[in-house]
Amino acid sequence: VLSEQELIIGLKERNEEAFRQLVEGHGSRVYNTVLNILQDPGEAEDAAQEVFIKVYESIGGFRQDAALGTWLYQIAVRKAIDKLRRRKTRQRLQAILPRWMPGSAKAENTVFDHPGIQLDNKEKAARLFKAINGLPEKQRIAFTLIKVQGLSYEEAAAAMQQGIKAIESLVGRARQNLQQQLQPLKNR
Amino acid sequence: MQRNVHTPLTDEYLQALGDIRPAELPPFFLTRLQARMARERLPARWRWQPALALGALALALVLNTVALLQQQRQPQKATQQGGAFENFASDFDLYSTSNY
Repeated sequence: VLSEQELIIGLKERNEEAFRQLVEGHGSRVYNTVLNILQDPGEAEDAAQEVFIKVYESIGGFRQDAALGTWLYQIAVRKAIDKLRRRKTRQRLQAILPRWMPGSAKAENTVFDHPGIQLDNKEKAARLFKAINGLPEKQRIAFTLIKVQGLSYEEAAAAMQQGIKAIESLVGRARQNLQQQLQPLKNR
Repeated sequence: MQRNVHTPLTDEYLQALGDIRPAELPPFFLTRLQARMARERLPARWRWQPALALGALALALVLNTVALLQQQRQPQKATQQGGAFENFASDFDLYSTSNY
């Protein structure tokens, strides 16, 4: 097993074994990050692949200001944001031209069934994910990274390239928004 | 502090995620990733191919044109040469078959 420094050197030298180790070591975390944000396994796999392609392409410019894992999280968050924005654009277009864009109705109305949630909690978790889906972009990402993914505020701040106070504020606002969104469901 | 916002309902729903396990990486993720990387590297090569094809086509056209021009010139030269010989022969009466 290569150390992080050896891994970086190996990646810079386009070493296939180093790349394999990178994917095996960080693949699950990268995939879960994008999956939790995107709430779509297909899109998440696509995004996770793009993260590793980006790493492969730009490892030469990696200055090691942060750990490799933090850099990966940053790329993963950016990729997830890109996908969310593209999805929104697609949905807007679909609202205008529904006949011309079949098959792109997704996400907003589909229920996300996270494979790692226990059966008795699935319904509640699905409601929560749907409510998270309705949050503004930054709140959604900060809340997901901390409350779903289980990152610390410091790790989330590094991944989102924001200050810790900004993350705290985003999570606080997300909680309040979720409280409002979940209230009607409680009364049903 | 925003960390201590009072949101009991959110907290209640968050408990559903309390024992969440990370999702497993899709099977053959690395294989599919490597295949995609190989596929996406292709376009870089393909980008050169139209240029190469056009270059080869242009070269073939130039060679064909040169060959055609040369073919057209050669009969002219031959006829010019032929004419000169004929003139020379007639001037010196070389076509005469009479025996002395």
